[in-house]
Amino acid sequence: MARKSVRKSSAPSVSGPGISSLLGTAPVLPGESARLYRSGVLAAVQELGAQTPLQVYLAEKIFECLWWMRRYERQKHATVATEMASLIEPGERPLDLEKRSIVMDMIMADDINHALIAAMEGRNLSLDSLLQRALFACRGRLLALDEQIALKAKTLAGLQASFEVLVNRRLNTERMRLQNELLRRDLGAVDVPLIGPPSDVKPTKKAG
Amino acid sequence: MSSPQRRRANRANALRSTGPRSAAGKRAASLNATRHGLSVPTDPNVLGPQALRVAELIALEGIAPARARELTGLIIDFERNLSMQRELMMPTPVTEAAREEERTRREVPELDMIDEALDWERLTRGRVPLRMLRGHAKLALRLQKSWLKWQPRLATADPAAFNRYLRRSANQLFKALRSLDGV
Repeated sequence: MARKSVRKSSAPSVSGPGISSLLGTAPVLPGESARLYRSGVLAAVQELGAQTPLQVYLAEKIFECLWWMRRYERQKHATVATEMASLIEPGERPLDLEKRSIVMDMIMADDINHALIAAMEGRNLSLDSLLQRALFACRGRLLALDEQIALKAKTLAGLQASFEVLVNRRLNTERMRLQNELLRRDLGAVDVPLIGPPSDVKPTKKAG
Repeated sequence: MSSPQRRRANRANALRSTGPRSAAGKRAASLNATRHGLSVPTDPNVLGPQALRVAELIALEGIAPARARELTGLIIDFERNLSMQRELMMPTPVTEAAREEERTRREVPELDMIDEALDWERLTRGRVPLRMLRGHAKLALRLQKSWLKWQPRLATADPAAFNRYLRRSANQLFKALRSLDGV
């Protein structure tokens, strides 16, 4: 318990105008939970131990990258579901938008009922073959999304390296300050007049 | 279809044109070719008050003010690219017609006002005068034409270019941050 309270007290303070708030960025898209995003950012900032505004900014961007990757994953899911819904549609009489969105919701929620199975059988498809055909049909879009995820992963690596540089910079600065202090002390010691042993005292011989 | 004489006269008049003369006109014309502005980096020497506060926060890291301003410019570029990526991810209507209408409504809010005015007339008088209807249709057509002329040029830009701009701005920022290690 005591350790927990100590960690809390040493947690960085992210209140006050940070770089992101000054730039006025709104990282959440419509439909996404701003509360969830904010709590995730706070957790990332605390986990990384960001102290200065620039470190906090980089920690926020690291979390935003992860958020983007999750967003792309969800988009991939939605792309496949849309394709599956469009494959079920009877060719001569396409579903209207409302019905298609209902089918999409059912597929995304994995709620495959009898009506949906009947519709699939009407197109000579099973759930597996439907999925395979949908994946084949939208492979280009999925590849494009994978490229976006790879780009975010690369950005994430760059942000992490930059964050480490900033943290190490503080450590290096502190180390150099201490080394300078030590050098100054050593140099100061040169100016101290040498105090030799009293003339009446014979230096003791060392054994060996 | 204009007649050959009219076309010749138009061309002769156009040759006499010297372009915009007022400062506002010149400023507007200077943005004619602008599509998204992401290829132009932020000038660290002309930062606004908010950006200067960001530079002050960065300087708390023990960074020289000029370097902090440079980093601020790079951060702004990075944020501009991220916000463009968010813009591209915004949910869009499914059909092309609905997408077109959404774009028109967003760009030309006056169309909604015209619709409301027509509805109001219909509600209060029971019928819409033909003259008024013609006037509204003319105005709507003019607004649509002007919107088509000035619609955001994003549609003509290469989508892959946005990734390149993002990658470039991110690399520049990381390079600048990594160079702090030796300072």
